[in-house]
Formats: sequence, structure tokens, C-alpha cells
Amino acid sequence: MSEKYKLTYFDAYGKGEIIRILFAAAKVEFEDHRFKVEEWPKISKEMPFGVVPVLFIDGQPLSQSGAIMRYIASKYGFAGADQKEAAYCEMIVSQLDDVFTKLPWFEPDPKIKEEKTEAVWKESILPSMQKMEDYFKEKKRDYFTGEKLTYCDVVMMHILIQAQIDCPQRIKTLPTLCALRDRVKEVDGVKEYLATRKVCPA
Amino acid sequence: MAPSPKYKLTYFDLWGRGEVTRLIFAVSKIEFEDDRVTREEWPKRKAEMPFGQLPVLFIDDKSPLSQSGAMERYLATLHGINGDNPLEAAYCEMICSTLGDVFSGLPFMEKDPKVKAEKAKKQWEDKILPALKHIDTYIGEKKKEYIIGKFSYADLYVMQMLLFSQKDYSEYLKDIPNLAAIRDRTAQRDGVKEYLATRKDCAH
Repeated sequence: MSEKYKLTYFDAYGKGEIIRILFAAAKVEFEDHRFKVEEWPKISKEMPFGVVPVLFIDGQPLSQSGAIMRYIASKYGFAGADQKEAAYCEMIVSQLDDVFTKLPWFEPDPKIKEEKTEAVWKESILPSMQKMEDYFKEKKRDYFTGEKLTYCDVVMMHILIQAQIDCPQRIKTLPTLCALRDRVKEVDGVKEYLATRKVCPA
Repeated sequence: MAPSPKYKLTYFDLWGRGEVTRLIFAVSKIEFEDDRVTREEWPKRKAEMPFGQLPVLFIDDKSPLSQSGAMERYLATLHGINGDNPLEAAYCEMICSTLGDVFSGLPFMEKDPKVKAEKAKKQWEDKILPALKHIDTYIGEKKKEYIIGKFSYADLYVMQMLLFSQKDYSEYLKDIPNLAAIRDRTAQRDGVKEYLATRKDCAH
């Protein structure tokens, strides 16, 4: 009998949207439990380590977005052809997570936020992503780590969709990665999800 | 049988984000070059690394793999200590990432001893202890010998965090008997025991 899934996360993209997109790519149903910020203190107490996202698998909670992402990817064939490719998927995705986490997501002053954002893109995000662009350009293949779609490609797509909306001028030097983004947007399952999903600022 | 690959782990002369990988090699009885970089040497070595950061695992002198989680899971899976299926592997990762998150909030770089002590106390009380207690209760309820039942790299992680904590934070380790038992059981394992007896002691 197949597993029953419920994803509990804020009504936002944050660390939850990738999981939603992966379920879509896998064409696997799940309950998309979204809560409002005001509900967080109550929800937090119900979560095993007081954090979200949490994926309930037949009622059993699994926290940590990386663990959830790699679980779905492994189970449904998006984790690479072998262990080495799986490791490189994790390396790229974790590197992207590291650099994007530095952004001033919760800075209330818009001027300071913009200054800090510019600095993080220049000093951290673009240096890493330029290396990824150069690497991928040389490989001349459809997907980042190998011959088939992996969760690494899905993460790249998600990041670059957001960047295209928020700051297209910053990603002008990443044409091969943007082409990857556009390819992944057309993947069966992903395409339908993107067309009907709730659009969030972040 | 194919020869074992040649492994080199490049990291600072610390436990930090490299020690669990060293422990995985030890328990799996796999040789590796333990390439420790000093702070003075680091600027010259930085360009060798995929994203200018450490640790990096070199496999057969090529394919540099960065990100401690990626190399830990890669080696653990290869050597049979990452659970027997994706769900067990996911629980290992959940525990290791949770511990990584809460411990990384400690004020390692704080120079003022009074501020450092205050920040550390807050991190232990607000974040680390609740996480450890939660895991401890779960293991106790399920009567598990190791975190996921059978031995995995998650137990190495637990052991390393508790051994590190014994230095400056031993007072917080009183009420987690099941985790303490896993620490001790893991420390006695073949490969780990020998490694712990001779490894370099580091501040963190």
C-alpha cells in the first residue's frame, strides 16, 4: 500500500516549495498543510523539534528540509544514477542553500535590505553560481549532475524563477543555468504545478 | 574486486565539520589522507576547492566533493552505515542536521569570555537541550540500541557532539541517559575505539 504524505509548512515558498515541486515532478499526491504566521507558536509545539517543514509519512514526522527532499528524491528516482551523483546533487544544493541563507530575509528597513542583498549576491551567491555555470556549460548535457533530472535541477529552477522575478539583472551571466531552468519548467508534472500553484513573494 | 579509491580529506586542524567524516573512515576501517590545513596555508589552498571552502573530499585525486553532509552521507552509504532504505537514511539525516543546527549556534568565535558564557548558556537551554531531550525520550520509548535501531553514522554524530560537549558543557549532559549510552556504545566499537585513543584533541 502506498504511503500517505502531509507536508506542514508556512503559507509561503521558503524551505517548503521545493518539496511541493518534487511531489509534483514525481506525480505523487500529498496533503499541502499551510499555516499562517499567527498560528506558528501553536504549530511549533506540535512539531518534533519545533521546526518546519515537517513531512508526515503515514503519520510519522520527518523534519529537516534536506532529509525530506532527499527522501522524496531517493524514493521517486530524482537522486541521481549512483551514490557519487547523489553526493554531487547534495553538494550543489547545500552550497546554494548556504549562500542564499545569507540574504537578509527578515530585514525590516528596505534600504538596508537592498544594500545587504546586493552585497550577498556579489560576495557569495554569484561567485558560487558562476562556478556552477562554468561547470555546467562545459558538460554540454541537459541536467546538472548527470543524464537525468534530479532534485538539484529542480532547486536550480526554483531559485532562478525567483531571481528572474526579483532581480533579473543579477543572473545575466548565468545563461546555461537559466536554460536549464527553462527546460525543467517544461517537465511533465512540474509544468502543471507551476501553472496552478499559489504564487508567494518568497 | 576493484581496488578501494584513494581518499583525501582536506580540512582545518579541527574537529568542526570534518571529524564525523574522519570517524566514518575509522569505523569503516578505510584509509585516508588526513590533510589538515593551517590558517596560514589556507589562502594558498583555497583555489583548489570547488567553492573555496572546507571540508573537501578528494576521491582518486579528482572529483572534489565539498559540503560535510554530502561526504558523510556518501561514505556512510558506501560502507553500510546509512540505514537500509531511504526512510532510515532520512531519519539519520534528520538527527544529524538537527544536531548540526543547534550546536552550530554556539558562540565559537566570541572572544569576550563573559559574553561567550551567556550566549552558550542560552543556546544550550533554548535550543540544544530541548533537541537532545527529545531524541533521548524517543530512543528510550522505542528501546533503541542506536539512533535508528542498528548502528549508523548518526551515532557517530551523537558521540562526537557529546564528547565535544564534555569539555566545557558537561553540566548539561546529566539528563540524557539514552544518548549517553549510545555515546559510550559507539566509542567502544571496533575502529572507533582505536581512533579515539590516538586522535588529536581539538578545542572544537
